[in-house]
Amino acid sequence: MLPSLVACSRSVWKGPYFVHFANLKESIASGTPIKTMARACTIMPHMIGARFMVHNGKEYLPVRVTEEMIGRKLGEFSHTRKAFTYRLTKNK
Amino acid sequence: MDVILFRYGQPARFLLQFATIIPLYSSYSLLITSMLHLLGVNLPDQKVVSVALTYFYGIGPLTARKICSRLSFHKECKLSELTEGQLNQLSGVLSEMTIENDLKRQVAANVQHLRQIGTYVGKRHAMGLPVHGQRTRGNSVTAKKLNGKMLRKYSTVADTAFTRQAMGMFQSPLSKHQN
Repeated sequence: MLPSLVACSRSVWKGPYFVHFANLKESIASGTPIKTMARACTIMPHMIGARFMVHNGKEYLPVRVTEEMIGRKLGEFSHTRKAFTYRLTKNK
Repeated sequence: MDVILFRYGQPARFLLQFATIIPLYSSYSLLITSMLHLLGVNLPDQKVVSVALTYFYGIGPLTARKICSRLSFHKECKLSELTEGQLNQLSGVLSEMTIENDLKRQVAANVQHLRQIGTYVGKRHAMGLPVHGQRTRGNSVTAKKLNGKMLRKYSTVADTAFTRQAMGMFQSPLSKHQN
C-alpha cells in the first residue's frame, strides 16, 4: 500500500469509491464482522461502528471503523507484509 | 585564533579591524557580531532578511521571500538595517503563521493521530522505518534515526532496534496508545 495514494486522490467530481455492503446495518447492530476483499473501499460515515475482516492477500485482519477513519481506505488498516524479525539460524 | 563575540544587541564593528590584524591559525574563525531576538529565535543580524527568516522552523526560502515582498523590504537589505516599525510589522506577520513550537506540536499530533487510528503509516512511524515505500534492505538510515520521534515521549525502556523488535511489531513499546 502506497501512503502517497491517499495524497494524490481521486478527482472530486467522480465522488469517492466505495462498495455497498448488504449486511452493513446488521454488522453495526450485532457486531458480526463483514469479510471483504475490497481494500480500496473508502470509509464512509454510514460505516461507523461496523466491524470488517479485511483481506491482506493471505488472511483477514479485523478492522473496527471509528469516526476518525472516514476518508481513508479499508486497506490502510490491514497490513500486507509480515514484520521483519531476525532469528539467528543454528545451521552452521 | 577564533574571535567570538556575543555583545547582545550591540554591533561591535570596531573589533573587525583586530580580526584582520591577528593571524588566523585555525581553519575557520567565528565572528558573530550581534543577534536579533525575535519571537523566541536568535537571528543573525548581518544577514539579508530573506535569509535570516529561514532560521525559523517552518520558514524556508520561498516563504521568507514572500514575507519580504509583502512588507516591501528591499531584496538585499539586512536585518540590522530594519527600523523598529518594520520589525514590529515583521513580528506581526510571523505571529500569524504557524512556526516553531506550534508547528512542531501540529506535526506530532498528526503522527499521533495516525498511530492512534492504526493506519499503516502510523505503524511505520512506530517502528522507526521509512513511511513512503522506500527500500529497507539498505539505505534507511535517516528514517531509522528520525521517524517516530514524536511517539517516543514516555520512554522507560532503552529504545534500540532490538527492543523494538523484541516487544512486537505493531505495538510501539513507548507509545501511550496501545491497540
